[in-house]
Amino acid sequence: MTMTDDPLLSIRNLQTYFHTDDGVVKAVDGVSFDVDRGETVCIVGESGSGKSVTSESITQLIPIPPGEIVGGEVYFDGEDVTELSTGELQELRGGRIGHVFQNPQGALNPVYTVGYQIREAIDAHHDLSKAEARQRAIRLLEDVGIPEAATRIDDYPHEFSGGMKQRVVIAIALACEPDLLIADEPTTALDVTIEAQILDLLRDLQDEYDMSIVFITHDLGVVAEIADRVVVMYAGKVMETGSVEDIFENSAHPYTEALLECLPGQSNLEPIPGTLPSATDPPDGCRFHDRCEYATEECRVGDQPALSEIEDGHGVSCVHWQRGSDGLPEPTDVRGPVRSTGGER
Amino acid sequence: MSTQRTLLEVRDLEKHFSMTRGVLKDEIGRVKAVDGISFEIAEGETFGIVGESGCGKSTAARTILRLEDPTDGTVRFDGQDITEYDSTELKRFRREAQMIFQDPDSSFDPRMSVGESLAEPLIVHGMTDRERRRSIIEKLLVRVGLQADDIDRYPHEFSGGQKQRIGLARALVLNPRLLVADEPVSALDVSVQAEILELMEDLQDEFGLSILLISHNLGVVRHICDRVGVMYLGELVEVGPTEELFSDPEHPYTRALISAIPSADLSDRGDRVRLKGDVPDPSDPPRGCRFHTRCPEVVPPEGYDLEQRTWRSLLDFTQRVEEGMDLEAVYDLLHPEEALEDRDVPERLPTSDVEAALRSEYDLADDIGDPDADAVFERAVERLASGDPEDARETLASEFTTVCRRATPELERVGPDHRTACHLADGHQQLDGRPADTDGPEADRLDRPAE
Repeated sequence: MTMTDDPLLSIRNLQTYFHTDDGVVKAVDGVSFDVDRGETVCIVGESGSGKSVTSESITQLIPIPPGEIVGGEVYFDGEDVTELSTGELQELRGGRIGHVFQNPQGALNPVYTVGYQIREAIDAHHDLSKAEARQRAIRLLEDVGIPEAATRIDDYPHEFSGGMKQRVVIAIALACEPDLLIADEPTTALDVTIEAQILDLLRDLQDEYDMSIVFITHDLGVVAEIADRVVVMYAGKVMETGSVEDIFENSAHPYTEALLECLPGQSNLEPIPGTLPSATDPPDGCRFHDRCEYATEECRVGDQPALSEIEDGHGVSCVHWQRGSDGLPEPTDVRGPVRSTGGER
Repeated sequence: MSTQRTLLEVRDLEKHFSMTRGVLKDEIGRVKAVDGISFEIAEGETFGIVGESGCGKSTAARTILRLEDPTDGTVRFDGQDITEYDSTELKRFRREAQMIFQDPDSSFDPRMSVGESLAEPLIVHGMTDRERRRSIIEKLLVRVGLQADDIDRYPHEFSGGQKQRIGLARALVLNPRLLVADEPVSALDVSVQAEILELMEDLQDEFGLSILLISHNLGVVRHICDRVGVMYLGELVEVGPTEELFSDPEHPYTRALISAIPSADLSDRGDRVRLKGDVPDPSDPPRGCRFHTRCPEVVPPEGYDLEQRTWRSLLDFTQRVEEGMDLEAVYDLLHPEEALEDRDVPERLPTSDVEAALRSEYDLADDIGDPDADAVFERAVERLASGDPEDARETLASEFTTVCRRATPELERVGPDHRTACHLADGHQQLDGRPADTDGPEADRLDRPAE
């Protein structure tokens, strides 16, 4: 690995569309952000915001067709990976870029021991003897906090609990010491107590393996635990991006504020009215405008406002960004029926 | 509790599942999913049951609705014991107590329109007038925040949050008095969770419902519950008014659950109580306090001066030896690279190697701070290394002992309506293992008849 100050991952104006019977779904529509070396970037947003498609576009895990990366670049360590051949992409997946998904049950094969599945990942990218691979698999299981790894390695997935299975999946992702770990909602299927354990584990592993993490979640509470920087997505667009302090202590976009207000566990809970706009026919202007209590005429015309830089590294896509939260227009009541026309997706 | 009438009263409820083997179905063990829980819900009240996966909370909910027959105990609904209901009475009860489920995707038939799904309960309970059914359903859809013309749409046309609204509408279509909600929001986005919780609260006011809410996330429960019961391995370990439970949690398990709620506060990042491991096997629950195997605040043994962390590690080691740590398991620790089939375990292993491996496995420093405890540890290690795990087990069990293992704590009153089952609630005093004798011994236990 070359040691430079360049970001490890740099996504520029990424556009990933899906061609469906109902029309073209612009799942990711002009997304840009960087991930520095050793950094954790969280992509946060509701279901349908395009956060998973963004992460799956990096190594082209999206089904093509109907999916298509229609524009933009994804630079990984200086190289545009959207240009790679299938063989080169396969080398990258599970090699320098590891993946962890939401449901550990579905990520493991029930008929093989976990040791076999970890060795399979090692063998795909390295040429080690059976004994060496086994030893490495045990060390990986120890690293992800599985007690008595040397005995547990010969167990089958069903002999592990949900949290332990997710640890095994993380061990597989780490098998080739990736530079980048992409974790898509890795704790959403788990209990809160186990979620806390897995977040601790990822933090420790990041130091140990010196890797960058792209972490996808819908839960800002999880973001507060693990992120260095945050990308807030809505309907295929980036609404706000900044350091974790920018987002939690100095948020500038009404959508970010709305997400913060609906976190369970705090004393006053404020749901966001309405639902995501149509994916095939997004509204003009800011895509959040019909759910935004500060929306004015300007917000309803043209394109999504460009990201304005409030401070170094803190960008916001909002017409009213300069006025500060005090100078925003009067909030209007946007609560109506949950949905005006048709079903969402 | 208010002066309101009690609607649901659960006493010493037990639900055990037999584990059987072979064609003759010999019972080889019992999973004690629910093992003696008691609580009551007043009219218009919301009661939450919180705990991790496997603690028995969903089984409790199903048993309360008699979707499972209880092994023991009683469930009284409006004064009548539901376990004694005949089929007519049960059918009436099923109208008055409704349930919504975690996964809105699998709780609807994809080939039935919303209207058809919602009409089913009305048809079952004898409403034959088609037009009237339709008008009831349309009104209800509007009430849960959808539109009347959604009645002819199909489930796939709705998002998860909308489907959960339809689930609520279906539960309310028969005008029930009790709603049991099993993880109603955990499959939903955080932003949608808030919506559904708010809706449930509104509907409760409007319909005067009692709600039993089941969740693994205390944060969810906090919003809408008047009182909360914290459940662990089939037992309630703490019951109290929601805000009191949050401001003054008495049980270490409750404290850990509160600590695990993801919050938007950056200041407490990484600085939380963490529970190690998973919920133990409910067919063989730990002795004494069932939480002691994971508790970060276990009462230390008398005569030793140990930090809580070190003590926790020593207790973990003790438990592991009790479960049967033999020479082979120790050999595995020393030689992780050898595959099962080509292992050749000698009769004894070098004590110093074993000691180093165990100290690193259990995160014990070379100097654990108390020479007496260290001597016990070293003796146990020596016995393990020479192939005598039985002696190691006896040494550890007789020295590293705690009230949390010896005695089962009972639910004791710690506030007017706040009870907990923890030896710590006795103020660290009850090291002899007898339950604390507070203000009035038996009379204040939870399992007496309701006031």
